Amino acid sequence: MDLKQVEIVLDRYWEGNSSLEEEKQLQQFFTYGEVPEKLKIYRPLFLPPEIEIQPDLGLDFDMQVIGKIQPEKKKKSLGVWKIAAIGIILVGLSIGLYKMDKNYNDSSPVVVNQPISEDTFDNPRAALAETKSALFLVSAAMNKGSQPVLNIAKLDVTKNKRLPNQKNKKLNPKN
Amino acid sequence: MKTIKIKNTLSLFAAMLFMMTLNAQSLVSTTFKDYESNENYTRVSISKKMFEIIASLDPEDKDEESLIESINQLDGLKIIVADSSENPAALFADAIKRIPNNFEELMTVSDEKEQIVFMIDEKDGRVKELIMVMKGDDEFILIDLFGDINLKDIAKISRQMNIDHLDKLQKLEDDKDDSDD
Repeated sequence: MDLKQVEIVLDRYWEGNSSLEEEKQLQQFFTYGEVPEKLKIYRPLFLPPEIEIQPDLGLDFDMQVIGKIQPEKKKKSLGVWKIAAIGIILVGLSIGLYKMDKNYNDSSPVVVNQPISEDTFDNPRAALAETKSALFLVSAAMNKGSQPVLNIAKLDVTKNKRLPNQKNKKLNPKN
Repeated sequence: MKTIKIKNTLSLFAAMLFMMTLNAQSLVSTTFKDYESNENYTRVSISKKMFEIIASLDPEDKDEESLIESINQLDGLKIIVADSSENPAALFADAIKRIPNNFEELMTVSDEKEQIVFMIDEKDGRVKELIMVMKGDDEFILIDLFGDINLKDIAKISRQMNIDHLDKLQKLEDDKDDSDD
């Protein structure tokens, strides 16, 4: 069926004069034939409802779609990791806070039986001096060759120890 | 690629958290917790934070510079000293008994007056913790060093300061009863 015939039959169809045979022909034309641009709008009329001709969208379109799908996928997996990371951070924080809280509770209200949880010294110089004498004692004991040195080292570690620690000294000046 | 990167960061996070929880662990704060909380003993605790501050100090001389360098490798130092009002010998025996199996004896030094035991916790050739327990006639000293410990560096310290301290002996004896800070 050529284009001219189609137009004639189509006119008859609009007027309601077409035969069943002609309508079948139209259906065939619109389903399988080369439909010119101006007639394309009528196409849905002559297609059986269950058959829909998919237009060929071309490689470009396919690539575009694939391109859009892939980042989507990545985003999705990133999301999972993000959630996992947040979860881990939260767990870590709560453990940390719990520990800090526990330490705080352990050390603050009870004055007797107070464990030294962190630093005895506020002053880095004093801490250095203490560390020095402790390391010196350890070192001297290791090299036990010279007994007098060991004794001096021992003196260094023990001489400052009239009071439990520096902080207490400041807190209780009456001592 | 990207997920691998994220995985790496995550495992780093996990490792950091793990380290955080392990950070302040030392024998004194675990096994000797009761010593640490006993007011009758002199207790000293120096944290990694303080060591970091110390590392930023200007060293007075070359000896101190190398000392600060090895100090900076440490995670903490704890000292417990008990004087003659306690029973040093009993404390000593108790302390030795309590030190867990992962510590091995490094050396023992003893003479008629005192006894010193060194125990180390070593893993892959690295000393993670060094415990020195000392019993004298009238005192008990426990020193707990933890972190990255270089035994050679520690052994060097007394050799370096040896002469210095002999000079100071008289001075120390003179003002040891003075209050100090």
